[in-house]
Amino acid sequence: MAPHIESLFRLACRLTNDPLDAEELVQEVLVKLYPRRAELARIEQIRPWASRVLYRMFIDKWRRRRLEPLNESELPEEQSLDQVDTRLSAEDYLQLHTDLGTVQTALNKLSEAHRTLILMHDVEGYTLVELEQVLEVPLGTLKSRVHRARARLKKLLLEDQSLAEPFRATERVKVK
Amino acid sequence: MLCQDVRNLLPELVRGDLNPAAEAMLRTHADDCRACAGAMEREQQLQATLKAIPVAAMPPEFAARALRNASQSGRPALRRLVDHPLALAASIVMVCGMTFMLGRALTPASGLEVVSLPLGQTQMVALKIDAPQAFDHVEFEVALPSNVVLEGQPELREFAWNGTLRAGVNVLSLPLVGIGESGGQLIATVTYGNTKKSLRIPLSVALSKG
Repeated sequence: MAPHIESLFRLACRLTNDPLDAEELVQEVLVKLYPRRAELARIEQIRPWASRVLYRMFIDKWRRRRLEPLNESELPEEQSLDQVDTRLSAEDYLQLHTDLGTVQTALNKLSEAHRTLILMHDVEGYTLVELEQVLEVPLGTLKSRVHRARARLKKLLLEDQSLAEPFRATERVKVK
Repeated sequence: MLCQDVRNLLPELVRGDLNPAAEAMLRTHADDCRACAGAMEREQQLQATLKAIPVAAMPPEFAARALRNASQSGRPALRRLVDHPLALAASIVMVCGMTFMLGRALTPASGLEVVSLPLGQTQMVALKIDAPQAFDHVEFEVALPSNVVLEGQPELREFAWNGTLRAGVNVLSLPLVGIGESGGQLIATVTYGNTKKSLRIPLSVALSKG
């Protein structure tokens, strides 16, 4: 397991957004997997397998702690997203904000389901085949969810010009 | 190929997830289409930014510490209970009346009474450890006789773990199950530095009269 701990830690950091929580989560995963180390030794692809354990643990314990919804179909914004056009015009594409701060802010505005997909696939580099195993979602469903998650992110990067604005409109002060 | 189709596939193109034929088709299109070429450049920038989102570095000692903790986790009940004060050990049915000191002045263990375990039932057996001061990095070892197992851990005959002792009374609680009618000895050893102290607790397993 040792070679995979850093990868698990990174994933845990992405999911919990807190390095101390990440340490705790990885520790719990290792405690759970340690008695099964003989079984692990026979697994060819340990990363998705161990990541699935970590992800399930995150869902079962950590998410419940925060009482946040995850199931994509439960989220009104996801349902409405299915109804709208997720395509971007060439002009839209050219207006996308791609600086780090804006992208991070937009990412944090995504639903947990979409943020998780983007973080695991586009940020941490998990392949769709790996994600199929980690998230236990069929490949076809996964592809469409990733597509919608990216589209949602781009809409945020495109439409919300105030993403980089650190204050809400009501908090801004006009200087004459 | 329509521009919209190209733009839909840009993330996969930039990630290198497309097959060679599809990739070649998209790149050929982008070579002749300024709008799609610009969109592809934007997609590359976005994905580069996503890859650059910082993440906390793993503390250098974490992997070793986490693995060590995991390796000792087969005895979670023991680890949780070992430092508990006696007052918290409400579920303990019986406490061995043996106290010994850890440190330079050791109280010899003697006069232990036979502890009776009902066959097939869990019996909490508690061992009092009286420490004159707090000790860190104490090693605990327990060896069970062949007719006694630890509840939930039937394969564990001998086990060891590291912990601490607090000043005063510490309690080591063991949920034991007798699996064979006979006698035997539980050997508990506490080691601190060069100081090692063992207790041999005689056990007797018999059918419960109740």
